[in-house]
Amino acid sequence: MSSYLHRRAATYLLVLAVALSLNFLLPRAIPGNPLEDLSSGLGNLPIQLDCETLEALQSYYGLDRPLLEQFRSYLRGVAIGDLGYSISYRAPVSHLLMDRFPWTLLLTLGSLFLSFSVAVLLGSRSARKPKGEWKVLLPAVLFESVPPFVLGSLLLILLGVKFPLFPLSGAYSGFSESTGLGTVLDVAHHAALPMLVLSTSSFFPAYLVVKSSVLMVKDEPYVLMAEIKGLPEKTIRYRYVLRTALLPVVTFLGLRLAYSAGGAILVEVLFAYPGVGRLIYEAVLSHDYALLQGAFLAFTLWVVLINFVTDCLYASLDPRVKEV
Amino acid sequence: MKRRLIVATLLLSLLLCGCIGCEGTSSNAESKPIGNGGREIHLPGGDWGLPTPFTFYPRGPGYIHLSLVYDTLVWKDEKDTIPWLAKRWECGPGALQWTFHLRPGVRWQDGKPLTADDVSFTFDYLRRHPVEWFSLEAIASVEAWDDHTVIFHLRKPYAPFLSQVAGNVPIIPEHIWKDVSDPRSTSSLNRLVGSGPYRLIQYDKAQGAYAYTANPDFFLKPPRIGKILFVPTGDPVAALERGLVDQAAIPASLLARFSRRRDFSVLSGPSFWVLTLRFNCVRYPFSQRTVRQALACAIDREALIRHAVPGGLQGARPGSPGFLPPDSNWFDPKIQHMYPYDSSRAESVLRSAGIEDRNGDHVFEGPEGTAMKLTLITTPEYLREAETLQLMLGKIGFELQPKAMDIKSLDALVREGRFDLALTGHGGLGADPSAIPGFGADKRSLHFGAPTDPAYLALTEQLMASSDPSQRMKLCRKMQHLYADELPTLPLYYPVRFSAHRPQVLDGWFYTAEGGVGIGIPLSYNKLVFIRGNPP
Repeated sequence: MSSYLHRRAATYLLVLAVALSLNFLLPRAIPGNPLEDLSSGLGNLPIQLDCETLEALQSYYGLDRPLLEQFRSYLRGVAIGDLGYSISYRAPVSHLLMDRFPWTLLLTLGSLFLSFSVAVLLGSRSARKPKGEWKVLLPAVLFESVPPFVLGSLLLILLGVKFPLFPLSGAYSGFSESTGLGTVLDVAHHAALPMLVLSTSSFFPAYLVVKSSVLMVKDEPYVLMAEIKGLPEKTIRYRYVLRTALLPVVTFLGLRLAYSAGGAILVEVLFAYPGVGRLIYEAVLSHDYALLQGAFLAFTLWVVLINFVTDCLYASLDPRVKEV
Repeated sequence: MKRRLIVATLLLSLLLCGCIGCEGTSSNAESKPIGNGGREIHLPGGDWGLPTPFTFYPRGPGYIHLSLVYDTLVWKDEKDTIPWLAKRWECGPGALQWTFHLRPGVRWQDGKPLTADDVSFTFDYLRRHPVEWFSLEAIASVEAWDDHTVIFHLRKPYAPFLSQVAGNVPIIPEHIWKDVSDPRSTSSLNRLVGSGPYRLIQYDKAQGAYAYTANPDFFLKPPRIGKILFVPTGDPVAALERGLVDQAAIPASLLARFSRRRDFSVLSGPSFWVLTLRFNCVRYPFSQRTVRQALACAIDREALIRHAVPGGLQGARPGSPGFLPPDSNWFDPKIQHMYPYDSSRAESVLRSAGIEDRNGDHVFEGPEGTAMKLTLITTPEYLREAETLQLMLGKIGFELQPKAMDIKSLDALVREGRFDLALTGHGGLGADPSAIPGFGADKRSLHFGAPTDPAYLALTEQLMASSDPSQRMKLCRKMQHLYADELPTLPLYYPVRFSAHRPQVLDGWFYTAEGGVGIGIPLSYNKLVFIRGNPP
């Protein structure tokens, strides 16, 4: 077991090393740089940046140093948890990420919990009673085929403007004086629509995985034996069938969890939700090197961590994996 | 049974959230009087940085926030430049010296008096800690002559001094900033002490929410709007419809909808923004001036406005080949019709340049057989205009291939000269003509495609140095003629800006003179609107 985990850990360390280099190089491969963006501003009100100011700013942000030196400084910073200073947000990158990450986590975890809970309930039911499955399949296929930002826009118009039941944007009410339960409900109220949009995109695949997994397990000999023994139906359904059928579902959940933060970008932009996805979107637009590096690093760590946890879970759920 | 229970639980949760939310979505159909007798207004938010001169985001709305807390020496209303911290000013001989006489009795928001030393300190401090928004290149030194007199010594005559420096640089208190070694890392609200009409009392960076309260000791009078709340909005128009904000910019396509409504008033004004077709003047065929002129004749700019974005460009004016828009005080109307739409004239001009269809494939070729198959780079929002141009120029044998990309990539390609034609736009056309990007004398103008002809460059230098209005007007007209003749870019249209507001909350909105707030921000959020309140 431990050698298996050591091997996995070594692989992930290698992935991290490559990701760190790419995180540094990719933003610099985009044409232009953060200061040129400020000064040239095609499409905006251009600023007349004089040479004196340009030099002073380049020196302040370390953009005048050779690339290799910038890379060394970036690595040194990462080692001590200093992710640099965001030019466009005028704030330390680590502070920005710490402020925004919990909101993305709330959206992604909430939407996955919602979609997987309903998928497990309906998927296992459909495997047992295929009749009437179209009632689930029809809306699921419909929502799956609508891009999240289109569905989000429709919901915003319908439930945000026409029937104003939900807030149009943000993660909580601005200047609200509510505390305790009031705050929790306010946050839930703001997260409801974005969470619903995100869950619709992950519900259908999760439903199919659960259904096919239950279908494979329910005719296994040990389930037949349990039925012959006269065990109660609920015990067979949940302890014998569903528990075993959940193995591929856990893997799938891990995968969705790892990549869900990236999928939240469009939804966060649409609902002006203050998550990391929206931060990355704005960082790309403004060529903010430090912020892009920091945000990509956070995403990389998130994906690696989830994969590692999934590996550990998988190894403990299925001992055969350790022997591979 | 179980299924019904699940559905009922889900519905109940949604309804519960919905009902709770109803409390927070108060409509602001009537503005609420607040404690200090003023009124409260809600405006679309968004994060534009902490409003200090060192931490605001260098974009229009960022400067608007800054202007609520800090004051400049002069300001602009709907008509002209007006006295602000300075009650009067003079320009010395040779335009190398500007003297400002400060208004007596002005105090910082912490009660300390604002003096000439603060003004002098501001410029020294900004020189030590430069900010991209403020260009101080022209200033040699700033001298506090006495408590209420400041003298600026310039390196060379700088005609747009009032708009670019005196009306743009916010004056900061020396006693707050003198010991701050890294002002860019400021994050404390305690350092936000200005002399302006409002104080920032709450700032939520992640949500982009700001709360300002009126400064009762403001030197003009206590502002009539007692509280300004910039609230988070995904889509400002949806927020306006729902009553979450009291004013928002609206697209031209929604003009009729808001004009019909009695609870809204609509304001329109020039955007001082231009969409241009930029020619690569160092690459064949656009290295030939006649080809550029022929293309100007082949493009029906009025049809472009009508057909490219139906309803979306209401009120837009066709581009003038002299670059300046008809809304500018410096515009020369004689140039507007210099290249009327005439595709047969365009074809004959092209033939005279040796460009015609030599092999009957409907695509023109140059004298050496180079086919006129060209790439038109643009951003996704102007693809419809690009396709309309493709059709128009297709009629004179120019086969364009529109290619959409993000603005940064387009910007880089243009800067490096790796393009045939570029369809892009920029603002700032309402500024002093010597400071207009793409027209004036500053170095950035070349980046925006200003002519490189020596005669034109000499005129821009004269315009920068001259302070005589009639001489400047003559220079501007000559420049427009040269521009139209050289035609490095073809202005296609100047859109109109629209906003809708609830007049019962605040009805004194206006667009600021000379291109907009500060260096030319064409937004209606001039702080005078909030100070004056509703007109009597």
